[in-house]
Amino acid sequence: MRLIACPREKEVSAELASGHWPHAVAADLLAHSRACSRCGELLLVSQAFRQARQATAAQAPLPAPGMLWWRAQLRGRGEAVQKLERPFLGAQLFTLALTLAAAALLVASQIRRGVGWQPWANWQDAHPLATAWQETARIAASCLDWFAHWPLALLLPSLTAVALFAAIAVFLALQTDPNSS
Amino acid sequence: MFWQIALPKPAAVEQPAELRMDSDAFAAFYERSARPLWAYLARVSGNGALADDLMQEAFLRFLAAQLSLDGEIAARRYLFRIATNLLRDHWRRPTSDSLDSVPEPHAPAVLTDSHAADMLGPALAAVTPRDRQLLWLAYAEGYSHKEIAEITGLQSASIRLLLFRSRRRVAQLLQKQTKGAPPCD
Repeated sequence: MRLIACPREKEVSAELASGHWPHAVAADLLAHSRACSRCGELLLVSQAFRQARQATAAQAPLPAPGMLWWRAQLRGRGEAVQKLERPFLGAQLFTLALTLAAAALLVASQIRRGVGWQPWANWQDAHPLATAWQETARIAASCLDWFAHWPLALLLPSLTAVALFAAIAVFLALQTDPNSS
Repeated sequence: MFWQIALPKPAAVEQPAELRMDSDAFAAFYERSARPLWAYLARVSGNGALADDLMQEAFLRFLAAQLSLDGEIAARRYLFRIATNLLRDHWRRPTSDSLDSVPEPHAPAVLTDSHAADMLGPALAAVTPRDRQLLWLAYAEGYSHKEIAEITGLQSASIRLLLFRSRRRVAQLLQKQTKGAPPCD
């Protein structure tokens, strides 16, 4: 098939696009379109498609634009939540691991330091109020002492966790609502 | 996410916007562009129900893209591009026919109460879906070869040849239907 275009096709197309065809078209172009097979094809096809477009578009069952707008907002929010959930899940897992590690270290250090668990088990044998007060004071002192010698291995992860949550909080605070106009 | 595959990347001139179309601007744009878009989808797919679904999905993705387009013409072109990709995705699904294959016997059944539609229906059904897309974009929507290339993702030079062939085929079919009547008014 040879691809030979008529040099006047553009003129015909322009007249069709402007809506001048056929009543406001130069006589020579009209005569040419009747004689030229390429321009005849162009006219036939263009007019058929334009009429079909008009007829089809008139039958379009359109939903209200507000409904589409609302659905787009919902979808946008859902996606925003999904985007946020991933880092949150990671942060939660990281925090859980840190907490478990801290708990294990705490238990290990307390066992090694020999905190008196026995009095807690037997405090009911003595005077209840006096024993409880003494034990509370002793354990508080023990905790203060323990915190004073907080191991670096525990301090660093804890500070990291705090920094991580602070960063997430700042991110959320600065994040504007993507659906607000 | 799967549906994002069909979302075309914007052209270089289209920069991300800080603020998108508001609801009033969208409603106005929708009123002007929804009917042509539905007609395109319905005539190319030959399925009115599918056109309903794809049109809504196209508008949702258009809104989700949150782009600052250079005027309504560019916005409409981008909308047609999304719709074209949706059609392509639909045809690529395993349950659907491929893009260039087989006839769609229900293609002319979209409209039946219009002479123009009755005349064009059989001719459209005789060409491939891709040719229907190209013909519709060129002769119903009036897009240039360059614009069609942007919408369909095809090469501009290929579009010229494809359009030439498909236009000739459709013209022959239309001429048969009109029983040799002259093409011009």
